[in-house]
Amino acid sequence: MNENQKIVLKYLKQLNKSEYSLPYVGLMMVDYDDNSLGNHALNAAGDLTKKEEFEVLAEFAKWGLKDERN
Amino acid sequence: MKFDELRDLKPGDKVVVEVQKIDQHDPNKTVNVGGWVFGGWIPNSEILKAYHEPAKIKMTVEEKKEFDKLLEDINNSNTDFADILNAIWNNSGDYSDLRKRLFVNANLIVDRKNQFEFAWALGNPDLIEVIKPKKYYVHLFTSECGYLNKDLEDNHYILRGKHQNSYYQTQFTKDEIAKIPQDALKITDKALEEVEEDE
Repeated sequence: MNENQKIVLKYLKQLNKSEYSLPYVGLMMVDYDDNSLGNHALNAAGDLTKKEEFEVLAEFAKWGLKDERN
Repeated sequence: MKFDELRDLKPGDKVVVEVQKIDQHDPNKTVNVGGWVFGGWIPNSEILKAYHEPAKIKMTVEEKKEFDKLLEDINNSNTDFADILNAIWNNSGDYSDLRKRLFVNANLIVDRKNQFEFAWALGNPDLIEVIKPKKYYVHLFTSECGYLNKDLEDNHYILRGKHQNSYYQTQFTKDEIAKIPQDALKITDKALEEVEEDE
């Protein structure tokens, strides 16, 4: 994974630490392309290609599913 | 891999090995990977971890159809991925089965696992496994001719034998059974006989 992917993945994990959070929101964040908020992770998300976005999602899912099974 | 972890492996388990050196002087001859091919051993340090087959994602025929459409929309049009996700969320697109899977269940509590699985499927569409719905004969009377048949020409229901052909449908999914008009009789689970895979 490249640097931007790592930044976005880390952000998604942070957002989804709580058992009440919705992973689906994370899915939408990956495609976020509005840099006006100045959020470092969202800016990185804006620079991802579609292929890179899906790679991040797969890693995010791997992390989340491991957590759900435990 | 640590010795304790290696000790837990069973015959048939797979491991991930780091290839540290490849001898390939002549591409037409045998290639030696590390000390492996002829040495018959792999140093512990080169065995990284146990290998687990990637998890499959089970989807119904309807879910898979919607998922394929979603991928097509993402790849072939100018539709934004986030817009599609929004459409599923708001129930404003053609994704009712995916929406049900992601946001609705019997307890009306969102299933986080399903949402993570959806993310896994987006990154690994090849791992999707389509589950065929189980089919049943509806055996209403204890007789060889007591099976419910749907006349495929006029969509009427009659009682006949269990043989299904291009004129009569005798094998039904539970969804199809639920849609059968039950004015004169009520079909309960007692009447259902599961169709074997090879029937």
